[in-house]
Amino acid sequence: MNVITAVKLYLTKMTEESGPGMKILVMDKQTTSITTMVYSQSEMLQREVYLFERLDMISAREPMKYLKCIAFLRPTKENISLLSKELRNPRFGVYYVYWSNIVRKADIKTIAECDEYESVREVEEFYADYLAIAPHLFSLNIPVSYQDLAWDPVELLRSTQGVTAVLLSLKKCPNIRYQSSSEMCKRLAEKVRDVIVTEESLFNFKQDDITPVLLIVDRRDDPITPLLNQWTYQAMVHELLTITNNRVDLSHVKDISKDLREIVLSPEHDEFYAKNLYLNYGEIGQTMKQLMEEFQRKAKSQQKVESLADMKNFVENYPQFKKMSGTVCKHLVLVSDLSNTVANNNLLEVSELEQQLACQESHSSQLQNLRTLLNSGNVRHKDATKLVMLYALRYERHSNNDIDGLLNILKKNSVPDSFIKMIPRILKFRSKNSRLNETFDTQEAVVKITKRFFKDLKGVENVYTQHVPLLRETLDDLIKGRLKETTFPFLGENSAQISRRIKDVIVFMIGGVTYEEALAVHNINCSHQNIRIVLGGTTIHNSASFFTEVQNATANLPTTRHDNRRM
Amino acid sequence: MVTRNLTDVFVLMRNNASQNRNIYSDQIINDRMALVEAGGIELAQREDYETPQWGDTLEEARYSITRLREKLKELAALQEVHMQRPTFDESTHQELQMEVLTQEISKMFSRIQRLVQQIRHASENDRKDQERRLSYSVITSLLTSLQELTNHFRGLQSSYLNRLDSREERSRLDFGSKEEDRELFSVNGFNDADWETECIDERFRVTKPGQSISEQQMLLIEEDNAKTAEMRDKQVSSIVQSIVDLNVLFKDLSTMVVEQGTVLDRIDYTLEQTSIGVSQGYEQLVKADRSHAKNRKMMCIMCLAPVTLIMLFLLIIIKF
Repeated sequence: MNVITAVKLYLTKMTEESGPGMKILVMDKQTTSITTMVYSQSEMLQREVYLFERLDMISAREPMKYLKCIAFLRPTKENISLLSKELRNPRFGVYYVYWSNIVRKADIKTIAECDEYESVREVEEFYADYLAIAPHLFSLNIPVSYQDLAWDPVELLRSTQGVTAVLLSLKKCPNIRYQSSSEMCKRLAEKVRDVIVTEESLFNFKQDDITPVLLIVDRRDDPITPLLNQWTYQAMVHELLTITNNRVDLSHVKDISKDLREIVLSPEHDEFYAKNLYLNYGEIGQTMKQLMEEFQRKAKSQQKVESLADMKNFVENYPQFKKMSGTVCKHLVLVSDLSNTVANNNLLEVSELEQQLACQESHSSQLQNLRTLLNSGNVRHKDATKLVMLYALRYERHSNNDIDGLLNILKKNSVPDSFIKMIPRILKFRSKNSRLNETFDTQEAVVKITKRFFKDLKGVENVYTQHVPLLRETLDDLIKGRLKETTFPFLGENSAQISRRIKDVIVFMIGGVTYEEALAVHNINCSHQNIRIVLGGTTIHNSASFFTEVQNATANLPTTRHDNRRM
Repeated sequence: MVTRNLTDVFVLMRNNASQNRNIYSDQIINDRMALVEAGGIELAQREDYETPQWGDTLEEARYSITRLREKLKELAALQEVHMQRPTFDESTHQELQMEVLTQEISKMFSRIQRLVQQIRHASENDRKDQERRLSYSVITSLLTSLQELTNHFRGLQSSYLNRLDSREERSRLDFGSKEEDRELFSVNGFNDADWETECIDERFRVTKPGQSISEQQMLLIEEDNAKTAEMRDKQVSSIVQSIVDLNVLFKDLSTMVVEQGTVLDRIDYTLEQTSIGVSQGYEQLVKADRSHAKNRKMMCIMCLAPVTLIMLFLLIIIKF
């Protein structure tokens, strides 16, 4: 149940099957990202893959017949036609074609007809059709999956392919459970089952006694999590600087050296990052200090080169030293930039209020705090909007809420119109029977109240990280076998026969996951020894990308204020 | 990890397609044309199939690297065995073996480096852009593996030396504690022949001359001692020599590590860069084309020619 190793194995196999000799790897846009997430260039060079090329932007049409071509492509129409064109006039000696998903027989025929020179040696399906971000986390890089709050058909196809690829690469043939309140979840679940049924031979492998579970949930059920400011290292970097395919753009930082304009944060290749990505802001400061001290000690020992032995030591440690200095520089710049952003934008105060809004119930005092903070004027427009969004989500049905008043304050502070429109939009985006609203269901309410009571008794450990994503609760219920079948029904099967024991779970969230949820899943994996959960989503959201998602999801819906009042 | 092999289906379809093609093509082209054409293709292809000049060198380098890896493993095993032995007695054979191996390894290192240089020289006259990139990647990959191996080798050598040192240290310490016993023994005129050779010189100091060991014996022992020392010295100096040799290499490689783990080592970044390069090249071409179309000289001629004509005309009118 490790998606990174799964993808890595596929790629390793690809480079091995073509035997020795110089190779070129031809990819499309998406497979480039997939490859990049698990393999670095130097690792590929070691496997005799010396050149890389994109099929859709071939740079030179010089024939190099002595090269073996490994084509790793998604089975899209565009790729099929590009590959046929290439094979009609082959530039390389031999072709090994690997499709990242199930490919139609008709498409194979098209390519076979174009292969007049018989240069194709191998055609295979390797199901590495998703981006492996962490051992337990994958994404499909679909920035926007909703269209008028329903599936965008293209993205539905992509999601189905992505989920089936995950199942195949991990060798899981699961029971499917989906969130009943979401039509989209149901459609995706049905599509995935259709694939499993039609490609029976593929899913015919030996499995453990306990059938794994595929759980499909919808972001609309929990729009709060992506709106919160995060305080663990990885999530923070993503929220404030945005991580795209493990790359972070730092070109906005003043006087930055050329090497650090764009940095790579890959737990696979950066030990320090791998160790610290789940630590919170305060702890990062401490480990940073330790790293610095270690570095200083090393730097000092590097300085004195007097005797022959010193020289020898120096020579031995120099590469490691240089590598370490690179790591230190990178993380220092990153952390200092983060701390600047936090200090300049009053983020601690904002986050405290955000957490209160998300977790506690005291309308009047929160409204009071919110007003003072908004009026103080030293809050970014985006944060102000997020706060009001959280308030609106929370107290929409409260008898004396003051959304209008808060909107007026936003307007007074000259918050751009596009931001103000987000507030009615998020209310539309939130699913109507979201479980966040279910306070009237008596049984649930009792459970919730007792839960809250115990939580209050325990007290709050950290004001900034008290929020627990809804997903965590869902998964806890699932593990304990208490997840209701009315809210999460099994697809098609007679649920009475299904055993309640849980071992492997694959969660897919339509509308994107957050790093906060990834951390929650990581914690569950750590605390339960025989439970392995893999989390995936259409994308990895931070608040900015979530804004775009919501905007696109509700673009064509009427957004008058009265309308959303009635909702 | 599930995979599905579609090669058989593909080959079947390809054969069908080529059969279909042949049926039609027979009607159109006569034999002679077909033969001539086929010959032409063959010729053109053979030229393309030719690997670049440095292809063989690369093969050789890669082969040497695998060999080198084996040799290093051998050396490590030898060192391990050697360290495990209680004394250095009767280990001359092994030491010799190790020395030979070390020398061989250093030779291989420099040889591979030479090969890399050869590739670099050979690739300098590559005309094609793609080929230049290819040779660059090849050199990078060779240097990376070379670096990894040198680090490994250096690590092996220095840990071996360290262990030798610490071992000697330990034995010296052991002697410190045994001194009293030994004195007791020597006073009693008791001489344990089985004592470790390493202690010989220590023993020398302790035993009073002429008490129990005869002159001849002493000479023998002394000689033996000198031999050991000489051997040890040789050993150490050979290792130091190999380290010195490697330092030259090292300079070449130091830049490689830094790239690993940065954005430069990412496949997608490389691809973006090449595409940027290509689009820039395209822009330049467009610019060149435009400036070519403008062609100032032609404009000049076009302007001046009518002017000359008019002037000539005027001259004729005025003169006549």
